[in-house]
Amino acid sequence: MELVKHSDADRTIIQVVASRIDAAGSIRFKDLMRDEVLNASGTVLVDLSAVNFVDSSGLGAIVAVRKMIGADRDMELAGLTPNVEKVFRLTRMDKVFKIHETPSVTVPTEGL
Amino acid sequence: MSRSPPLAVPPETQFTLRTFSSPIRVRAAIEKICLNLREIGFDGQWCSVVELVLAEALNNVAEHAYRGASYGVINITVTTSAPEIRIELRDRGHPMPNGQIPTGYPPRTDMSLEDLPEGGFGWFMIRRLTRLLAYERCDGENHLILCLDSKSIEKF
Repeated sequence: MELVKHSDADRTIIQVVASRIDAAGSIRFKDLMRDEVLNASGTVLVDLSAVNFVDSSGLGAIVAVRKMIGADRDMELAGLTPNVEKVFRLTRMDKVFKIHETPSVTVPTEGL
Repeated sequence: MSRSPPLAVPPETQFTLRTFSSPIRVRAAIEKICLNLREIGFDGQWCSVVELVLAEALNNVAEHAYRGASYGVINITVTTSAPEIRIELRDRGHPMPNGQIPTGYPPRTDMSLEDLPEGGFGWFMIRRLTRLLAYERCDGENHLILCLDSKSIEKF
């Protein structure tokens, strides 16, 4: 799992480069996100378009990251693939997070 | 009007897989089971639900029955009798508290940020997606039975 970070005017976009956020990877996800999130300012937008599986461990890790960011900043999600979206809906976590419809987030092409 | 081909019904089969309880091994076991089911003829919706339900149930065995140990043995038997899939997990770890399957937290969205739970979703999701869920402890072994049918998987 890797994270790719881009910043624009008022937000930090973090792309999760992994196909799963599950029990095997949730700790790493939290650790990687912690580093990115504490050094960022403004809204954090997490691009999950590469992720096609999230279980309750992954969901718990995403909630933990939300808490790391704190109530003073927003955390939003984008690019939820169908199975991931279903898990959010089943657990009603789709009401807790602002979820963007667009399948992927526009990122600057230079530097890639 | 052309006749559509007969609906392929996955045959009655049974297979057993054994895994260690480490997360990486569990992941591999889930992948193998889903591959088998696809080969047998179950479609994407079935496989998606089995993948999730298995991940939740196996994670619970790993974390609670084996308390995070990497080398607890888990036996998984999958029986298909379309339109139903029966999954049985057997392990020799610690028993479930009070001999009962936890209810799991029902999702609530009225909580403040600090109160949002980071766990407990697993059993809730398993209960939603299965027709039957049963647990028994016998001769030092945990035995968990999960049955999915076409109606229960629609909830996903």
